[in-house]
Amino acid sequence: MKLKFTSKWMAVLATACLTSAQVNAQYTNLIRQVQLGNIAAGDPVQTDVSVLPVGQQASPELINDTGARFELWTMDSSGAEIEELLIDTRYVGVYVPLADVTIRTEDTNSAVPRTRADRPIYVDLTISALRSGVDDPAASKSVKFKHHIQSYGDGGTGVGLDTDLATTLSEVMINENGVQNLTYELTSIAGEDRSKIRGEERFSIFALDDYQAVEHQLASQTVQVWPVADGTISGIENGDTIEFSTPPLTLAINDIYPEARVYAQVYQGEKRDDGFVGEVVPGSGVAVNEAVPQNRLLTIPDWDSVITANGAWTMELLTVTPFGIDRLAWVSFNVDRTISVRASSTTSE
Amino acid sequence: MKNPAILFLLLVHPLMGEPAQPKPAEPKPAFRDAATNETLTAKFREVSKKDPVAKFEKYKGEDLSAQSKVGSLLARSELITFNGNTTLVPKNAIIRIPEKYKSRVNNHKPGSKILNWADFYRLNRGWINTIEVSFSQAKGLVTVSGKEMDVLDESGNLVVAVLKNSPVSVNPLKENTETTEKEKLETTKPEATKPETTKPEGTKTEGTKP
Repeated sequence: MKLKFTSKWMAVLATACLTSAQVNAQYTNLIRQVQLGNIAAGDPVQTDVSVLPVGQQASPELINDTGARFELWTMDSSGAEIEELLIDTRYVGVYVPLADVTIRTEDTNSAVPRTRADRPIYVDLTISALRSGVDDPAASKSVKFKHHIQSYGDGGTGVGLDTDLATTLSEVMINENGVQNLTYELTSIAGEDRSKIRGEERFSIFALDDYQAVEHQLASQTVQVWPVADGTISGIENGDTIEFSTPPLTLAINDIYPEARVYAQVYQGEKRDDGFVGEVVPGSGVAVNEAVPQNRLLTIPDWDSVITANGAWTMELLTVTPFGIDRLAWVSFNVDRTISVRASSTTSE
Repeated sequence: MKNPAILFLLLVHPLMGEPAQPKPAEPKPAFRDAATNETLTAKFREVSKKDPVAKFEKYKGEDLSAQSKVGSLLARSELITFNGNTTLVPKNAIIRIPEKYKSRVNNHKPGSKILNWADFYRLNRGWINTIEVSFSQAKGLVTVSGKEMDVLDESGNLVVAVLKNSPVSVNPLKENTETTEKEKLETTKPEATKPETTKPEGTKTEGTKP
């Protein structure tokens, strides 16, 4: 049996990945073909195939009855150590269900799916080529869907994460072709403070093991979950009255969502909950370009220019994210700058 | 001014066009107080009652995920480095490593450029030979030996097993393996590349001679 294997789609993936990678990196792509089989039969035979950025070619090795896994790797040798990056894998066999996992969130700005601890996760599973005949092997009739969760820990960013330590949350069998749309209203990652969860959830589909081949992954995708930001406004208290110049303020913001903005605004009147747009407090704007949450501490020495009248005022500390605008803190205060002169005048005649 | 009427028209013209279409208003972003532990704990308690995969049958077998892990490529490879270049081959693809070339195996030098096997081999044929093996030999069902192997041994070069010119791992010969007739038929005599006696192509003698 000889199957023609095309690396075109894989190579396109590689190119897309590399264009967004570091310019100075030296990347070399290769596909490793691993013949899968009974573990007792010994180490699987492995072959390397050099690949161009775009193209297609036949695999040099035959496909075993037990199937073969094709791994698309790219290697970066620009640093002191060789960096390896697994871009994708595909399994080819006699009977192989086809599966795809797509994660959707409200944050569409990132190539890697990500969301926040208070927002939903949507998982779309597409399964095809499952058989249903009485005589068909069990492994051709169903696939296994697994859901793993893993916390990054306090302040963690997932760097150097050992995914082997992930917790299996659920493991179910799916025996029907078609699309399954799953909704997870909130992250399932555990945490003492549910607003400060940071970690990742992995959704994977596996072909079942049987007498011919071991269990192998058909598709998998991971979503990162970042904490909800929090913040404080210091330097003015709720109910304070400003009679002279505005006091210096300190804005402390924790866990600003990746690529989010933070600013303070003021408007006349008591606190409103309708998303009213006020005047931005000068010096309070922060734009975060990092891919992981950030903390910021801002000092606002002078914000007199946005206080234009006497009366009740409200200041809000806001963050703008793909999920909308979140109010992190607010304070209402009064402004009374009426000058009253206590003096007496006399005339002498 | 010779023709004030023209100037007037030019000035008025932009105002006479179609009235500008108002841009569709962008949807107002959602506004809310940032979620707190209290609100999320209550919500989580509620949503936990709904399991998105409740309608599927739970898997009751043993966890086999460990055996399906892809793992590190480098951990499953051997590196051959020479003259500023490095290539990877599957572990057990190098079937002869003469003492004088041991320092070129798994001794990657920082800054060495990774080449694919074909390019690396083209530059280093002076000290690397390949031997074409069958799939049965790669599986360890049939030994890799014969005159060709003897010739390669005499050459003193490093020998890499290939399958249709791609480096392939070769399992040690399994003891008590009963080779099936089919596998015997499949087994072909190993076909070795002749040890190179000329200068390596595209390289200077001083740079590539061992």
